[in-house]
Amino acid sequence: MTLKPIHVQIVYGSDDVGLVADHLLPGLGFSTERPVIAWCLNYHQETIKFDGPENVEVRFIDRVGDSPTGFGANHNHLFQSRGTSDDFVILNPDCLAMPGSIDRLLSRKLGRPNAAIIEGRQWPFEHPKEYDASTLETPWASGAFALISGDFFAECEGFDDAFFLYLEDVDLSWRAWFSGREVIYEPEAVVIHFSNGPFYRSDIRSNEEYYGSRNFLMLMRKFFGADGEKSGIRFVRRNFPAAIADQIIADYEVSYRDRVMLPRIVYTHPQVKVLGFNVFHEMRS
Amino acid sequence: MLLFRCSEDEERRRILDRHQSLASEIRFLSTGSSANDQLNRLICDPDGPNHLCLVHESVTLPASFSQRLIDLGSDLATNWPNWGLVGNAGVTPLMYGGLASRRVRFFSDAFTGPNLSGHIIPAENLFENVLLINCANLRSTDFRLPDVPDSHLLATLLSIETLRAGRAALVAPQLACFRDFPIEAQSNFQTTVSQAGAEWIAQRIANTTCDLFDGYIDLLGFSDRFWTDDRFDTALRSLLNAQQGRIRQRVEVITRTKHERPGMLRRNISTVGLFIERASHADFVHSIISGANAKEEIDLPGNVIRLSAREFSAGDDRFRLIFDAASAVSGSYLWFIDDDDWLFPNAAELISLMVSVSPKGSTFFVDVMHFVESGDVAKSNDWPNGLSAPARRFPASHFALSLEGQNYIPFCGIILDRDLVVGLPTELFERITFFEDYTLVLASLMAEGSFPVAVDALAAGISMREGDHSATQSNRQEWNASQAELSLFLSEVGRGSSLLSLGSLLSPERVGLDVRGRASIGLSPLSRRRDFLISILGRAIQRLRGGRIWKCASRSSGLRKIVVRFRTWLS
Repeated sequence: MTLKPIHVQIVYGSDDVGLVADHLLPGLGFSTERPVIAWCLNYHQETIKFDGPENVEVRFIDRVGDSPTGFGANHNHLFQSRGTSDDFVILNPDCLAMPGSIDRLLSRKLGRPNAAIIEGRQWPFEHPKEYDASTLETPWASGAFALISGDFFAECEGFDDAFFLYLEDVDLSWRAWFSGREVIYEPEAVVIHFSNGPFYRSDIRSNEEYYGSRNFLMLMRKFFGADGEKSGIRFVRRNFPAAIADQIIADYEVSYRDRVMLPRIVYTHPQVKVLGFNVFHEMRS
Repeated sequence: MLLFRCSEDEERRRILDRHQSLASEIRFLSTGSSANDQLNRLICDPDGPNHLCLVHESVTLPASFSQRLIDLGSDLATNWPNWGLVGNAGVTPLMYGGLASRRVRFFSDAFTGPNLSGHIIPAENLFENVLLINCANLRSTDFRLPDVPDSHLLATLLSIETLRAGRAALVAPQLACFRDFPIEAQSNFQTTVSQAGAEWIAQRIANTTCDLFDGYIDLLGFSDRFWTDDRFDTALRSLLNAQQGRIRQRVEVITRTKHERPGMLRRNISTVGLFIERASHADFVHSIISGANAKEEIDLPGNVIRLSAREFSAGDDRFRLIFDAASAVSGSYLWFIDDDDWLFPNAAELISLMVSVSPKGSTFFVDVMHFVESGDVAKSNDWPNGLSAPARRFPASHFALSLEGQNYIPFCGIILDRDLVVGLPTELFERITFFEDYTLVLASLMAEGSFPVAVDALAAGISMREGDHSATQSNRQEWNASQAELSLFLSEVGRGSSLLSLGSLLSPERVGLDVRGRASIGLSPLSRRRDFLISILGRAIQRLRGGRIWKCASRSSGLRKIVVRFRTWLS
């Protein structure tokens, strides 16, 4: 019997070509029994082509436009380019899906058809956010390695590309909860992800910090309205020196605020919560 | 040309008096805000000098300084072709010396002398004593000093502009001098700076503080755009500029395995592959070696080399494998990791740069971390699927504490000079089984010309599991036998060296480490909870008695009993 292929979307830059070609794609070959179609988009728009292992077919998609586009926009473009709304896996270029990991995500999906997103476990620094050990429900799913329902993704029109980078995964997760679907954590599906988080230096202000702060304000406005926005601004001011906070807030107000519509009604959901600056979960004990 | 920074005639006369052998080469540069303009003209003028040696007025140069400059020029041209600025003290991106300092000085003053010797090293910010400027090299860039009133920060402005222009800033022992104006290397003194000077610096570097040899400048109030791409991290830029044009070094990453943990070995191989992919400034090559008693071997990727060990009849061959592997490879450096360890590719660029810019024969120390793994991870044939939790971190900067009598550096936290390993007595590899890592840490520190270099980058992870470690085996006979051999080796190897006697001076408390940071590798690793409770008790008693806990305990039998009972209860 011929197995149905699984679609894997990979967005990467030119610096990551070696990682993707020599490590990520060979690893994908062991991550599932099913044939893999790896949809690759280089946001630097270079045309370095490479092959995958035997059971991984690589398809290259050009980015849209002349300048680099964000994480969400690139994945939306890959999704549309595929021409199918089958479920798919998103995988960061600095990740290695471990043997059997994608099959475990797919297996979980079979038992939880209402799941919109099923996130794998990252190693060696597992995210310490909460998940229910019996239901595996979690407030939000990281976009580093996750299986996403194609129907849900099509219905909600994909990632919100206003975010450009960071927190678009929280936004997608919250929209999943509000749509009546589930967000699930699958600890048996392991991915190596050498995230830079534990390596940040205190004397260098990272891009993640900036994008994360700006996008935090967008998220607060989008889901919690004007009050949420004010609360977000207070969080930013508490978390940064005045000069930095002023700049983040000014950038947000001038260039990004209008990209997010105020909600007509602020809905609530037990899984949608903000417990601190960029903290959307309890910490697992 | 020797250009002394000095405005007063009387001082100029004194400078000439004390440098009579150099008098014909001495010129003077007025201090004050116009100095930067004068320097810009000298550096940028096509008819200007190729090299310029800028000297502070309080400096006394050695009589042989002219010859030293010639020697230095030759060394720089050969080994540091991208050099732009050289001083005799500064802040370095890597850590040097027994105390793993980022402030290196090759000069004396009334209170303190040099804290390092022998080698040129990269710097991110130089001190003003003596500065050799490569005008010819900088002239081909858009180098330009700013018009700011901070004449006391001239060396910093020169350093930052040199790095920005893509050239290397270095500290060199050939520029050693005496300074008649004592200066203390320190990190916690906030230096005054003009608004214009701070803004100029903050517009160039990504760091929120600018580290100086004798203090720091807080830049947070002067910029709101630290994350923009046109700024550079001074540490990384220093290393990148310094490595340009240097000979690439080869590092052998060698995994020891008995093939008893195939899943973990596969994990090890995957992470080393990712590391090598990112280690672009040196040639890292991965090999594995296993002993005669190893189980069936797994298939290896094409880029992993299988090394052959000598045949042995029986026994634990963990140390013999080190010698066999070192003898079988050709790289300059050896990085041994066990099959349940892994490497972090995040640190690869920094470590490859460290290897590239360090003198041959260096020993490198990197941060490593324990991860407690649960589940039956060791027996898995596939990827270990248990949970892992970060635990104890072993800072590279603690390496010299190993002289105190305990090992502070796990084996994967040291990158060894291959010549040192193959030069050790071969019978040592037969006599010692356990403590092989500690033996090599001490051998490298006690070797003639030892040059340790440390970086606080997390480079490797170590799996900690229940019941699968020789370190926790209850029968200590083999461990004790190895320790006897190690003691004999240490007692003989130094042949008169008193280095080991300095261990107690380097105790964690003396070098200012929190007791909780005292992460030595014990035979029976303490739990973090026990460590924490012991540290609380220790600090409480310290406060009560005003001394170190163990000294107190040894003096007072009652207190000693309490401490022993408490420790027993915690166990």
